[in-house]
Amino acid sequence: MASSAVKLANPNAEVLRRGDALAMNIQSARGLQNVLRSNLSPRGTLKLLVDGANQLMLTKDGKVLLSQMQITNPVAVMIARAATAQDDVAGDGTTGLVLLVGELLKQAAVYVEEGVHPRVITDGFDAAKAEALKFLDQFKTQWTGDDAMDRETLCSVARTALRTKLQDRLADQMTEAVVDAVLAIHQDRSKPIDLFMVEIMKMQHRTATDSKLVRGLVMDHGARHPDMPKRQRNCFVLTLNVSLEYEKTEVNSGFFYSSAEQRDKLIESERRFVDDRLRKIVDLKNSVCSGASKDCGFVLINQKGIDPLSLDVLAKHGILALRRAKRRNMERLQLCCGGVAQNSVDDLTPSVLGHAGLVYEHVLGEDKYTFVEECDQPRSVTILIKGPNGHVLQQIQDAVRDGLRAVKNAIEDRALVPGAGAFQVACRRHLLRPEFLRSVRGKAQMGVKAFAEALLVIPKTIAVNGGYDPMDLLVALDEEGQDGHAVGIDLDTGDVLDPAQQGIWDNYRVLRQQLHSCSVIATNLLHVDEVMRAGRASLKAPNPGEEQ
Amino acid sequence: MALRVPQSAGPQLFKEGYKNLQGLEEVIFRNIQATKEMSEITRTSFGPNGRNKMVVNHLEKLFVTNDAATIIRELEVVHPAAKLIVMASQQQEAEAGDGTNYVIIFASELLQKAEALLRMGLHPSEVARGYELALDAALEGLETLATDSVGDWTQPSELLKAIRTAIASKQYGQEDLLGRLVAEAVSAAMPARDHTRFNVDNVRVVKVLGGALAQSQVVHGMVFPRSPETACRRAQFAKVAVFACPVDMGQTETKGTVLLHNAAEMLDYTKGEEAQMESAIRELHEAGVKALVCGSGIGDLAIHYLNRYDMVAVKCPSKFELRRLSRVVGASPLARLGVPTPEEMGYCDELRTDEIGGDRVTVIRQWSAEELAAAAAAADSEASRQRPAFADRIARSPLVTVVLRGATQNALDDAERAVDDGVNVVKSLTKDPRLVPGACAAEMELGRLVHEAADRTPGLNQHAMKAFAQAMEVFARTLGDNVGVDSTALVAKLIAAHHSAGSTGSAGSAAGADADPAALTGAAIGVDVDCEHEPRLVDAAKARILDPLAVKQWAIRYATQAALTVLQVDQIVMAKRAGGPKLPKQQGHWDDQD
Repeated sequence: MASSAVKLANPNAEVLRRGDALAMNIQSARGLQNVLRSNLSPRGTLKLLVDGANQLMLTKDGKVLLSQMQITNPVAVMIARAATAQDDVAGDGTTGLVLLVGELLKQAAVYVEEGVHPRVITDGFDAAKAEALKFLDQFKTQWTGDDAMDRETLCSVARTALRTKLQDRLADQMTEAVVDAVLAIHQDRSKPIDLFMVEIMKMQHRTATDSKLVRGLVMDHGARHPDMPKRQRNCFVLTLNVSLEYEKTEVNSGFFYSSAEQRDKLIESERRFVDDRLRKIVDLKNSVCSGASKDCGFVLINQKGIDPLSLDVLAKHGILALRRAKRRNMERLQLCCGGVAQNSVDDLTPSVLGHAGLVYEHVLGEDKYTFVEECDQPRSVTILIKGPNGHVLQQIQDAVRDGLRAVKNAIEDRALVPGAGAFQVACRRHLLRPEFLRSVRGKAQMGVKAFAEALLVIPKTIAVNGGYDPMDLLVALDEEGQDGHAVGIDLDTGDVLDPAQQGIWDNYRVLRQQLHSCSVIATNLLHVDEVMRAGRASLKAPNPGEEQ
Repeated sequence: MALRVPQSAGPQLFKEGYKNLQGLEEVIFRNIQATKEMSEITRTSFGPNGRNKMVVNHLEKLFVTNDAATIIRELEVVHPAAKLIVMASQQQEAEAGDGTNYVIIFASELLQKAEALLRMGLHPSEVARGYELALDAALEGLETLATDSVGDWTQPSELLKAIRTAIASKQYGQEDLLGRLVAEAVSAAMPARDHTRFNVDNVRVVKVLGGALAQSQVVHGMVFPRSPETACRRAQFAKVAVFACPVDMGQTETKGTVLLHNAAEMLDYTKGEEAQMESAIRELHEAGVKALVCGSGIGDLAIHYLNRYDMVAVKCPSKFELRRLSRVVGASPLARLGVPTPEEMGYCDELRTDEIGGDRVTVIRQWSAEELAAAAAAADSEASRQRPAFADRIARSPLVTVVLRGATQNALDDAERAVDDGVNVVKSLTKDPRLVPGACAAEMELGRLVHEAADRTPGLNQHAMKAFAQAMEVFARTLGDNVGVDSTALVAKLIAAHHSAGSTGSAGSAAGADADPAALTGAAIGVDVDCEHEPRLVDAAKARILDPLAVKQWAIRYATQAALTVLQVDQIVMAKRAGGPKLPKQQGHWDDQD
């Protein structure tokens, strides 16, 4: 074997050269493709991940799989990173990306074996990518001008995204929740959508189909005093960031006293600061909860602590107090209930109070949850995920996250692409048109052809996972799509359908990003002619014991 | 994590030590095998004739039990598929408090039936879809099977209906004794107005080693396994003050230093402290307080003065116990030492220290109306004279304690689990009071109904639905096996009994059954667990063997979902078991410390 120059300099270096390197790259990419292949489409199966601590995780989300499995193969790591980028940009389409990269390399390998230089093929990839992106812009359905997408269309997008992650029944249920959540936080059309304003709360309780959207806020802690009211109607909500417990001084200090009476006075003066703050809160409560609104409740949600003595005082005045609320919830509370969060109790007025129709506590075993509900026009909402065990909750949470992203993308793009493999089939036909092929000069046409064929991996995999013969379906798709309209795969019958009519929509930016990154990664991998590992760490012999 | 250049032809994608299992053969069949083996462990413990297991856990603690929840918890199952089923069973424990073994047996039976279908060539997703349809049919059918329901929540006899069956499956032979205790305790702890607000936490169990189970009793109040701090150990018709803070000299948060200039000041200082303590205790005494309950320490000086004023002081170190006790006596815990206002003051009829076996226990309880009447008659109305006016506000203790006696710690633990199951059954009944016939009658009838639904279903799904219906027979089979009769003959008899009636009505042929026990037919026919050699049937509805509908509903639902999850997995990726010490258990909720 031809020895590399690196081997001379460092006999412990690990090196792969030329053909070996390329073969390894292609094989690794296809290996990763094989791992993720069975997860694509609503009919894809689940994977069970067992981590080092024996915790279980069930998923079919490509992003989750790639980040949870510790991959050591350099090529696979590169692809996994591209998939992570895909997730950051578009929030979905990671499995598709991995499949495309693997398939591009597989198609390229055929030509490389016949003696075409990889550089020529990648030139073809570039040309094909540019054309495919142009075609994507033609193919998408655009919503222009003032007519924003109606709720039904958004539901279709969310359903398409969720069904690839969850069982059908559950997905349909979460669809409404996801769309309504995004619409609730996106009331001001001029502002960008901040998905952070949708709180996702998990409760291990009952079954997954009990998950729902709560038009308010759910917090995972309760009142800390048994005598506090557990359920209040028509509440004033005071959001506060003031410590209601005794704070030690920063400097070193001490008391000197010479009799028990003196000591008692000191104890009293220590408490006075906190007591003063409490008095102001109680005064505010008494002033607003009087007269007509006598039966109204009063809820105090504090980001800092409240000590038992203060809780006692608040409980005596019928105030429901929550302490150590999370910072993010302070922001959301103001959007939910209105009102202004206060950093001091010095100028409390009724105008800083928010309002909620119903505040109650829900106890599950040892865990307490506080629901703030029935707010008028909440601009922050909660998706409450329920499920019998941790891995179900995690699975739904990942899916909901993707669903939210899909709705957000659709609103921002104002465009959607017919799904169910329709785009890939149409794009292939577009790329293989003689007019386009002639515009590409020379052998680069091979690259274009490879690219076009590689796109078919998506419809093929969808068909296989649905239990249908991929070739039969491809032929059927090709025939139906001759006159240029979108045709996709019907997973229920194994026939073809019109995705737009069935409400199967993909996000525009998911596909755009997929086309972009798959060709970049494939190009990079094809250009590699030597893989080596000869860093400082590998200067040591692999097995020191064996040398003696 | 260092990246490695793979040298071999086959690319190694994952970190060393990763196990990657894929495909029908490697994943699904092996998973089914694993769940089967687990259910083999627990199924011999199913039903009244179930055997006990001896489990020694990683801390070398010995468990002797037939409670599936305990067995699987202590077994620490690691196989991923078996673990999915264990999780379903644990969720059943959390949701319904009973039926854990039911979940394991049923889930594993569903998977075994699925295995046969998969070997015949069905796709796992087709089996899964059929099971989903069958689950819907079963849940729908279950609704029609209710034959009875609990009406009066304060009548022990009404509650006993359901409690008896639940306890019989854990402590067969003791169900009347324990059932009576549980029924009495639950009816006393039941909120007078709204039975849906019944709290399981209000029935406490205290285990005292020694004696026999028959000596167990129900106390309307609380029992602490410790004696009071003071010399005086009993009080009657006492006002009670509850303190969450220490009963001791006050402390400043900031470090304090006593500044003394001369010897006289030193003497005065201790005197001052003593005087202050005395005045605090005297004030309590003058307010009529006879008993003190304290959440944290009681100072020596305080005990001295408490003894002087002939008061009882009990320490109660657990915050939760203190909260419960405050509910028993109707007090609210005070955060500072001082005289409680009348609203904060508690009252109890009796506080005494008993010696049960070798252990000292302190009993705090409220008398029942009869006892009060008797006391009023005997002691020349001393009771009514000493009872403060506000005592009527807390006439009835919301908390009831079951004091269990038994010869060994294991017997006690097992009895406690039986009591817990009984109480939990009542809890699930408060949400849904309907009862279905037990002794496998409901399951056999469900099997019939699902089978009928399968006949109406077109396509491949009906195979899986029929498998689901057959899986329902596993309960009768298991009961038969555990009794020791020919379970195949038993199941055949049961099927005949259920099919010949042909109606979904309850106890279809009650009249005929009286005349000839061999001709039992109808929807409520189940297995008679008292039979010896010959399999025998019994009309469960008449024999008062009733199970709550809700428990079955959740169990069937969770078991099916767990089985579906196992079926839908096609690949398992296992990381190398992490070395080093085990992760510490989560220390409760993040906001719990006080």
